[in-house]
Amino acid sequence: MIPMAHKIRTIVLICGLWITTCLTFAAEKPNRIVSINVCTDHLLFMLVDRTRIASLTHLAGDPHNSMIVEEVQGIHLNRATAEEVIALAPDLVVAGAFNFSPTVTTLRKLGYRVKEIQLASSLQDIKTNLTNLGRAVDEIERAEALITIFNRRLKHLTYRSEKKPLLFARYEANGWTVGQNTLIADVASAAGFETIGERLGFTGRRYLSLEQLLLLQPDLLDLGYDWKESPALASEKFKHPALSELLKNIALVKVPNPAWACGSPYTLGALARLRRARDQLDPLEPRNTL
Amino acid sequence: MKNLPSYPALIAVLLTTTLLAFVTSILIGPTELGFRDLVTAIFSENPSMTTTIIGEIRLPRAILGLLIGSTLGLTGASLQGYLRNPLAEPGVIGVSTAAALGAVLAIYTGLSSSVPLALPVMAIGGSLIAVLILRALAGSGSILTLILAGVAISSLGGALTSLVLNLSPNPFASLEIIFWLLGSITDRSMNHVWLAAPFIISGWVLLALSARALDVLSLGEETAISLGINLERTQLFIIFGTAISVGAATAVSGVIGFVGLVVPHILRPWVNYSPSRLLLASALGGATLLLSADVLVRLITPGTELKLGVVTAFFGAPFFLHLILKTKATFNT
Repeated sequence: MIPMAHKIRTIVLICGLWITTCLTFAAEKPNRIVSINVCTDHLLFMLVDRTRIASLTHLAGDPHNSMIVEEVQGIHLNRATAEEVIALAPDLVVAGAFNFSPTVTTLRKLGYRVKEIQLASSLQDIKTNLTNLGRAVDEIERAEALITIFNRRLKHLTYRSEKKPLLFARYEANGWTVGQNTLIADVASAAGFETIGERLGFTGRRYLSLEQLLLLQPDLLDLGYDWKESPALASEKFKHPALSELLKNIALVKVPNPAWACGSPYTLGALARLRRARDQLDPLEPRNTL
Repeated sequence: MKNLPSYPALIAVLLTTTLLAFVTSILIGPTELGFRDLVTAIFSENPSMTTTIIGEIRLPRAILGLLIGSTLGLTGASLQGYLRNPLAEPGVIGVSTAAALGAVLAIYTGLSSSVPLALPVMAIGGSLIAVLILRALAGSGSILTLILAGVAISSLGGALTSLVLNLSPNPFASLEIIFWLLGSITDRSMNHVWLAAPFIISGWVLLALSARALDVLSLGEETAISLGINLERTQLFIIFGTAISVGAATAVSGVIGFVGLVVPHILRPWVNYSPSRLLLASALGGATLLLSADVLVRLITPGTELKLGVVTAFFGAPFFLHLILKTKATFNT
């Protein structure tokens, strides 16, 4: 027979070990997470339980920037100032990585734990960001599960053909368009398109004159949001008669702004729309259609 | 001055430069088009993208350059004659800024999307208020009073314009402060031409009708009255002519400074200091200058175009300083 005292000691020891583990675990697992960037808002929302989110940015509640407007109702929304973040007493702050961010510098100086996430400029970056943030919030398994689903959908949507890519242009307010090394270019390429910026050979975002757009005649055009409810000159170009002339000859796709704004699993929604447009433009080979 | 060309010769030269600048404006752009493309675009039966580019993008831009440049030159010349002040010019004395404020109110409140006519009308309202304030002040004061009042109106107009744009929920609006304060005619369309041209031309007519009165006014108000000039009518024509043409021009281009200052000063000796002859000459000179400036913004930084006001201020501001030094004697009296 094992003496009673020994039994109790064993139980205490096991419990002790368990509690210590729990405490260590709790110290590493943040439970009051604040996000101060709209892109990290989306990733964080997918990775952790709602109860662990102390605050997201106000942009998460803005339909022009967010895919999760309905879902975030009831969660505190911030305007990404250091003062506001401190008042929320977070145990982890998630921010977008910029070259110049006084808010992040201030928070770090005051001893807050800040995890910076690079903004995604490719589909691969989205997966990397999920892994990085998953590790920071201790949800590695959930991150991996999201990536598996992401890969499956991506594989399903990717356009595979020997055919030459068609020309795609995203033309935003003020005449901005994109070229190499952008998320939009990567998504377009997965859907069987080449962006107008890649055709012209530039990297990143740049102004494109209406004239050049007209001359290059993209096969598919995605016009940015026109802000009808609060007009500005920026979107006046969308009403230009020369553009209406162009639209008579080419196809138009409507991708909601927030699907492009941030790299997240929601970006696949944009890919799906482009892929559908690709199949409609060029329906000759039935084996390529879904 | 002996070696001056005759007035018709001067006008012929200015007409030629205006025409050259106009054609150059149509030929210069991000896509390379030659004179042959231009001719084909005009005469071809079946429209192509080149036709659309020339007809819907380049042509409205050149027409607006012509209309707005002429307006600035013309109003500069008539304001200088009427106020007998060498520094008067719609940009410097705040008339353009006030017009921009009116235009900004019309656009960003959404009024002009439902009623397009609200844009030129509100801009004209803005410039009219500014001209009336200046008239009230300049009637009693010196050259300096007018310029200082202009500075006050300009800063207030600029500040209110920025305020309206900052209050707009549209994320692009606040960036457009630059457009309204520095001016541009990039990618305007024929819609803008149709909206502004009738007002601009009516303003010109009013100013042209007061040309003779300006000549007589240079002899002093009392002499003018004794010579049978209807002073009140002349005043109304000049005030409304300036407000209407500058207002409508600013509504589509933003504030473009110094054109109305520089052009009349350069041309004045060439028309023998005759205020009435200076009007047509300055209109043509203004058109040449603005069209050339608009060609320059496309050549200096292709792709990301400079604002027109940057170019006009570049040569206009030093000129303004030069004029201040020249008129210093008048300030001290």
